[in-house]
Amino acid sequence: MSVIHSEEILHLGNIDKEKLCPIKNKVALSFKMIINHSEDWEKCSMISDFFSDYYTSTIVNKKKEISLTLSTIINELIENAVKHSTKEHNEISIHLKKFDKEVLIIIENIATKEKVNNLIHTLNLINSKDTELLILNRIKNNLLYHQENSEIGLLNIINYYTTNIGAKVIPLKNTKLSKIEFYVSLKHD
Amino acid sequence: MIIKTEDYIIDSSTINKVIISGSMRLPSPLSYDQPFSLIKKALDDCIDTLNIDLQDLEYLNSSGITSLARIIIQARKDDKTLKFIISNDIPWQNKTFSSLKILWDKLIIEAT
Repeated sequence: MSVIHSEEILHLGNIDKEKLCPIKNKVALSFKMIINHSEDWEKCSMISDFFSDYYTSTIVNKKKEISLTLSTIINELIENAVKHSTKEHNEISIHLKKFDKEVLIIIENIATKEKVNNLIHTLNLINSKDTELLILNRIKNNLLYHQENSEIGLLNIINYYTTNIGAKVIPLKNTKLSKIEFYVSLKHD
Repeated sequence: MIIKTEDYIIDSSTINKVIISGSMRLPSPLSYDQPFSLIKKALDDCIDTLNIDLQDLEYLNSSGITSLARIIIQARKDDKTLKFIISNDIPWQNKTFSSLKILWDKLIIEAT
């Protein structure tokens, strides 16, 4: 088991850090799973719908809209975590925490340095670039270079939904791997 | 022609029209090539405007959106008009198509 270097932890994004501190003690729903990219892909959708249905079960106003939005966001986050995990470390954790008219989703996975750098690059674009233009450019590049992944999942969340987004990158000692804790909060009426 | 799976249906049996319904969350843009081949064929065959009805497509992931954008870019290359019929009740549709409109002048969005 690797030991975490706390002094090297990297915080990214624009999420309110005060919401994150007591998270481990106040989760409303928590789930851990192993997903093999090719064999278990359909589970991403199944789990997204489950988390969304769970959260919206007590909501009255705009229930369907919130449910569809939340499932869309969670699905993109899980797909992203699956694509950024390694074959040897393919365990993913999901936590959901409920606030007043706000839900916080946390996804955890283990990633290689290359994948971490991609994530840092994307998150650093949140406040500095036109995300809509970035999405369109990535779509065009995907077509031009026949890229395997769309690379627009996180940008879609940032651009289209009322969310705050952030990540904590925790290097694992004596490995080239890091644990990523990815946070998205969605506000609704 | 109709492609029917547990999760989604793509129906191109009506001339100049493709209806996609259900939930499409395939693993990569490449994995959309086969199901979206029906749309490409319908685009090849259409003379005037190809109507793509998404009103009952609850989910399309980012790989699917990328693949749909490829269809729009193909329509631009072929100089053909595309009309997407979308639902205001499905959040991803309105949000996504407000961006994709920029890809092609002859892209019509009809929201119901």
